[in-house]
Amino acid sequence: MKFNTPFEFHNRSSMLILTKGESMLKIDPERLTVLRRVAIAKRETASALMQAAAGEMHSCDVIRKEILAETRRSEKSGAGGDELEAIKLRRDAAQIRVAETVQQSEIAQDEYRSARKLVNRCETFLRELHGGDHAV
Amino acid sequence: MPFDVGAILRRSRSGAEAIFSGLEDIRKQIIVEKEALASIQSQPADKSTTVMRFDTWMAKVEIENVAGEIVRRLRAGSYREPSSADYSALALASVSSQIRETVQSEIERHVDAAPGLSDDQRERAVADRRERLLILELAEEAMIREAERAGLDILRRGDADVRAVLADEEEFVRCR
Repeated sequence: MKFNTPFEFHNRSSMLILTKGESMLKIDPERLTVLRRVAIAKRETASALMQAAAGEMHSCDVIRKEILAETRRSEKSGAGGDELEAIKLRRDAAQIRVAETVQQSEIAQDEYRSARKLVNRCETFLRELHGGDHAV
Repeated sequence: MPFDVGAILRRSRSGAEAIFSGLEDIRKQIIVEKEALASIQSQPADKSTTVMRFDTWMAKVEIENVAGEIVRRLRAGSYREPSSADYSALALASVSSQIRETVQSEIERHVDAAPGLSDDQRERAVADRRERLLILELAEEAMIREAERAGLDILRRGDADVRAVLADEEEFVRCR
């Protein structure tokens, strides 16, 4: 990867210094640790939300089974309409929670991918600076 | 410096809302700068550059060059008969002055519609835009770090400039 703004490159201890004319920009490779930590946190959030979404989906399945059982029961007895309505309301609420959690999980996964992409680009940049394959 | 990073940062200290709106401002400016950069890169070449490129290309099909090459082959000790492609090249070269005239008038017409940039102008304009972009990206990163210190979680752009993202903290102290 070649960088658009050509900078000269100096390596002083752990700090990398890019210079262009009188401009100077200090690069701190340790920043990569922070970015990696952010990416890991995003991955964990995404993973937790996926698990939560799976849990909500399971709750929905349980409620669906309850509805089925309650429907059969009320058909036999000819009563229990109120009970069925209450379960259906619970099902609607559970379905809304599933949709919300899935949406949050997708957002978290996008955020993780974006954070990971940035980490990869930074790793490539630092590798090329250290390897001497940099635009001057 | 075309953008006052320090002023942008001072604004951000008034609270989280200001951080978010300041960041939004900077991100908008980054988009505008990137569009301006793309626009410079897609500008056509100016007249002298276009004529120079045309001349370089035409020199290869000038009658003297093509005829000279055929004569060299006809006289070569290890003779190989010129091909029909050589004949076509010769025929084309013999009308090169008409081709030159036609293309030159076409160049005039295009340049009148859009003057374009010389290679030097383009290089300078691109360098200037990239410099502005880097300053904006540094300001964006400075804001994100301030927000992080305040406990706010702001996602960096996946296409952020890695030089800004990895910049040493000292770079931002100078901006404050």
